[in-house]
Amino acid sequence: MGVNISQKAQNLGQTKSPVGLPLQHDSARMHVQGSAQYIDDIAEPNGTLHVAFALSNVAHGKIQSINVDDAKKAQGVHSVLIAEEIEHLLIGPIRHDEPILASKEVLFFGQAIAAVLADSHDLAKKAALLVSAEIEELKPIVTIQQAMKAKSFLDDPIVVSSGDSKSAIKSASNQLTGSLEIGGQEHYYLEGQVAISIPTEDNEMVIHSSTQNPTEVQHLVSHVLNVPQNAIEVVTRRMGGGFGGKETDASQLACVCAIFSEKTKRPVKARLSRKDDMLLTGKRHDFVANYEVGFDDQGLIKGITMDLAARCGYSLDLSMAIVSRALFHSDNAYFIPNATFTGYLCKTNTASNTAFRGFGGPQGMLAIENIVEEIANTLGLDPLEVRRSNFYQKNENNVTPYSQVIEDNIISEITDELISDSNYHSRRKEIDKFNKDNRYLKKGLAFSPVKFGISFTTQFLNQAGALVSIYKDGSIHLNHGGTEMGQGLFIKVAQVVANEFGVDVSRVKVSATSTAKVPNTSPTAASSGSDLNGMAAREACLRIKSNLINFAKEYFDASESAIKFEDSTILVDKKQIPFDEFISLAYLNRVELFSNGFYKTPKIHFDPATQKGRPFFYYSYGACVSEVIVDCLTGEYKLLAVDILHDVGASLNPAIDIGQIVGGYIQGMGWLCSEELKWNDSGALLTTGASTYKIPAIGDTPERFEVKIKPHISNHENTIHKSKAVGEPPLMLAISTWLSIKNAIFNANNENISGLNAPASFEQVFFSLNKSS
Amino acid sequence: MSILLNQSYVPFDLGEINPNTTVLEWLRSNQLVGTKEGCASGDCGACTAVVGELVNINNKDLIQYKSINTCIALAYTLIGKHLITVEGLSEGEDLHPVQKSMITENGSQCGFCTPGFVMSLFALYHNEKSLDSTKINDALSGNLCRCTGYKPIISAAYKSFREKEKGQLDFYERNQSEFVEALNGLKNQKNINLRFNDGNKTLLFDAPSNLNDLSELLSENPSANILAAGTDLNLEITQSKNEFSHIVSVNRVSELKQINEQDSEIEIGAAVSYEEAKSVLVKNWPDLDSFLERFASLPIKNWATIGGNIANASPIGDMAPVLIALESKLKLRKGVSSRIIVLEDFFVSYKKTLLEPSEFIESIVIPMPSNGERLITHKISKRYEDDISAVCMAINVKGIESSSLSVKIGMGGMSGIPQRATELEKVFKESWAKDELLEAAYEALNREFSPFTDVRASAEYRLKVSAGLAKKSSLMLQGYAVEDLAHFSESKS
Repeated sequence: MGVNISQKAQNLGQTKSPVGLPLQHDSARMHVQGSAQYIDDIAEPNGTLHVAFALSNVAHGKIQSINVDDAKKAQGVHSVLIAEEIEHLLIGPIRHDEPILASKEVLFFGQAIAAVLADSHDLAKKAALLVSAEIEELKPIVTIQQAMKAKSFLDDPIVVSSGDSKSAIKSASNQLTGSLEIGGQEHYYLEGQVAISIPTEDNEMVIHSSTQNPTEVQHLVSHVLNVPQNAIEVVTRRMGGGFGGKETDASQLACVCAIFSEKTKRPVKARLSRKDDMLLTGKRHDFVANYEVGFDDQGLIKGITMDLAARCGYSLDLSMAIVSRALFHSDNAYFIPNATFTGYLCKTNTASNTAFRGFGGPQGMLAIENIVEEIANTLGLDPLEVRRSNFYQKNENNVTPYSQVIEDNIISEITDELISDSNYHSRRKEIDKFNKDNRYLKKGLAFSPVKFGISFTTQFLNQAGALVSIYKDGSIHLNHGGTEMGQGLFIKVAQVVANEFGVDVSRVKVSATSTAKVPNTSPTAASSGSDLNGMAAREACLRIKSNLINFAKEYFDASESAIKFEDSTILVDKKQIPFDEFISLAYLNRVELFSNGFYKTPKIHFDPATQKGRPFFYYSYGACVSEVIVDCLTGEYKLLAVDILHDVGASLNPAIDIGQIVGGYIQGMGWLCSEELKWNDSGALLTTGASTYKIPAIGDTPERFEVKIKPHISNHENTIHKSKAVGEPPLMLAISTWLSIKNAIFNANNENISGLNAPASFEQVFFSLNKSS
Repeated sequence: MSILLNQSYVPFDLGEINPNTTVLEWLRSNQLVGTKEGCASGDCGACTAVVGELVNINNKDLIQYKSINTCIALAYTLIGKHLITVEGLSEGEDLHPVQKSMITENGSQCGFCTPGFVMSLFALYHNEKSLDSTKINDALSGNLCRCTGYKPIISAAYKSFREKEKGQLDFYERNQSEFVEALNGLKNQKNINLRFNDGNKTLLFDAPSNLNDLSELLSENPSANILAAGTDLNLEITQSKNEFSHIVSVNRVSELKQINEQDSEIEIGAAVSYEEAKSVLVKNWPDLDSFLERFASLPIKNWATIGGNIANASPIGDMAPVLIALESKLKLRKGVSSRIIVLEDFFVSYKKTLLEPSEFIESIVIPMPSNGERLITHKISKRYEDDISAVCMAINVKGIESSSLSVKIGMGGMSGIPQRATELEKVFKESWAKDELLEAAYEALNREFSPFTDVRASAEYRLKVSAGLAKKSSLMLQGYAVEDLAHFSESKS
């Protein structure tokens, strides 16, 4: 796999700086030996008890009674908890509308109705199956269509608009209307939800939680236990994958453990079986997009009206921000002079959908890319050219429907480079020939761009803290509010810290994220981890450095400009002192060797009333070309080639960034291709395991898979070492893969312009190919 | 009740455990927590470990190492075998080449699936002399990674083989003779009859070593659960949380592990695993090479048995349609008596077979292919690797050169049982080379089958795609290049 060499060299002039080096994940050595500890691997404290949930087998109904007698009598059971015994029952990240256990009514299939405490995980699970409930069934609202019809919403619709879309569409020379169904996605983090609570003394508790948001777990546990937040410490060393699925969904488990720990004064652990995890926790929102667009004969968009309805599930969770982000990305890289994007928050009797890499952005982006593809197919133009002619420009046509002026636009450069690198035009010709020569096999090719806004759209979350400590031996300890879920945040921030002190990264230890080290942190989400925590950690380093420099100035009687931190030494004029000796000296001279650091993202502002402002500090860009072959007799297809060019600014760590791009792309491909969630009419989720829910496997890796970081660029804004966020944007590169399938279907039959939904399962592709129209 | 564990030659006693305990549970309760639970159903590979068994090849004792899913294998089925987990690879600070390659190629992100990948790569490293993409895909077909997108793991596989080519032997290769000796020392554990009292009741686990003992045991205990590999049965334990009170394992019965290749037929013992049967099957029916690749993940094929797959009677088990198309028979045994049944008659209704209490499958008998016979197989699933069929079709055609064409078609996923498609056979025989085959096949299928709609496919798709598969088969017989896309490669074409 090619790490881009030019990225390595691009090191801001410092020859030996660790910033920009393709260093391996800090836990890699432990990962491959199986010695990296996840929560279920921590040796259980003596007397640990285990929790399992009893789940509702009805999607909507009134609870008449819950019978826990058999469960209580079962082997190894200590107690069974139901909602009525919980004083502070309601939790939730924004609105407290989620009961820890269902009370009076059940609102989705798989909702927890009781929690069993037993000697072992297995005994708790067995006993949980003995809990029965008498539930008077009510008609569930399962689908988006049902919710829209019943006007079942969690909040008012959100409208982002500019210009006058209605009359622009009407006066355009061409119009197109359509509808696109966009499926949801199960996170399928390999490590399921898990937490352990350990009571200590004086109503204090330590909780290990597999969460992207230790602070929220802390606050919710303090709320349900009715103790101050300072009594609860939440620790997260690492997650076995998060992807947004542990941003809010980790809290319920931790709260139940804490409630049982408070009652029993014993450590309590809960981990969800895969099936329970898939039933109980939220997924990526599925959407229905209904659109009307007006465009000229060259495919230039004059106006769009689009309704985006999202299945949010039974509670609000983060759906407001997710639907907002979908609307903010319904333009993608295109200037739309007249746009009306309306988002609906459908309340349904399904698990509460939640954050998932991209956070609504992918759905908005898929909707607009589908529209552009259909415009091109309607006009018989190459979709690439229609895309190009609609791109945002640099000095004009550069304002989004939410009024943000795009100042850092590089989408044309990225497109030109990728089109050339991928031989798009010659491949287009080869594909046309192949399709002429083959009756049953058809190929498709597609290009799609990504422009993704970086910052939490919830303003106050754009802040971070860090704590850096140097010990007497010169070893450095780094804590910040970010959590490690595999994305390489810890190594990136360690590189930032090592760079400031001019030392090797191996000197910096990043340990578990703890609410006792850095308080009031934001979730590790919105791709913001290294932007926020990198800056906060750097600030902490600068404060310590300032102490050290002041000390050196005085001690060595040197000027500030003569003091340098490099090669693990302190250079004072021509005198070289090893870093550890210097630190030891500083300690003896009573220099403060630790500091916090704080950062808040500048420039951003947004008015929710008008849906106007600058929600994003900057944008990340990328583009992808995909080629696919489709079997018209079966609907099966195979992805043949993928070419990616992606913008990460000046990379902090190209190896980590390439990993995020490749992994994000494949995860997006899974969302749009093989991953299909299915419910029955009664609202029961049918895809509750890996045998029925198919995430990409090894053979889905395309044979040609060229991934490149855009070289020689840096962030237009002043981010940490001019880098850019990379967590989410690459997921949306996979839209080109879905488009290539759509293109193959169109190539099989040029009448076939609409009809493909997402995910493009083989069955769906088959019926799309064989549409009786 | 001992096994060999990792780098030690000293037998390790499994201890007094409930016979329903899986290998994974046993490992994790013995502080070997590097092996992870991702799904507890053999679908994700986070629990992958490697099992070594003694084999005798050309009068030489060797150990064959293979990857398995520890989450659905029972601990007691490892007795007398060598279990290697992720903790057993490095030698002190010195990592195994597959571990080193995973680090340098950035093959781990969150790290949770990594031990499973490392173990699959270790088995690959151990078993193969050279590498290509097909071997990598097969070796890693049972490992899911949600972070990396697999590309760096594929690079790691190639990189580790560059180390191997330098002649570097790992611990288990260097010390094979010691492990052979140690495993020979465990051979005295012949008939296994274990009793476990959980405080309330006694649970039984029997693993006889020969056919007579097995049939006697089952005659005396008609309600005992017969365990082959348990890749399906053990889901009752891990997913439904049931407990078996009496398990009779057939995996030590030597007669059931034989393959007899004769002039007119091949007889495969019921406890032969898919990987063990692969070479003889592929030799006689080359089309089965790619079919078996998609049949299941490698850890499942390493463990699962053909007899278990048939006795389990799943309508979506992929081997039954193939064996029906090949006109296979089953040899059943009960007590001292045996009977022969034509396979297509064996399946009665959903999960019901002709097996009587105490009766079991002894072997599967497949007639040798005749000259010019052509077997074509298709599988439709949501994903190419490690997935259950929506539809499986096997068409066996004889006499294509002559006027007397004979067609046998077996289908899976189209009804409650694996079933012969007699109507489709007639249509195919008549119009296989004609343009109207597609429509005619659909009508024939529609007459004979009323498939169900479920998570894998709708009834309509099952019917229509089956007609498409019949058409594809006819095109293949006519020599057109319309092979299944699962194995399509630009570099090969």
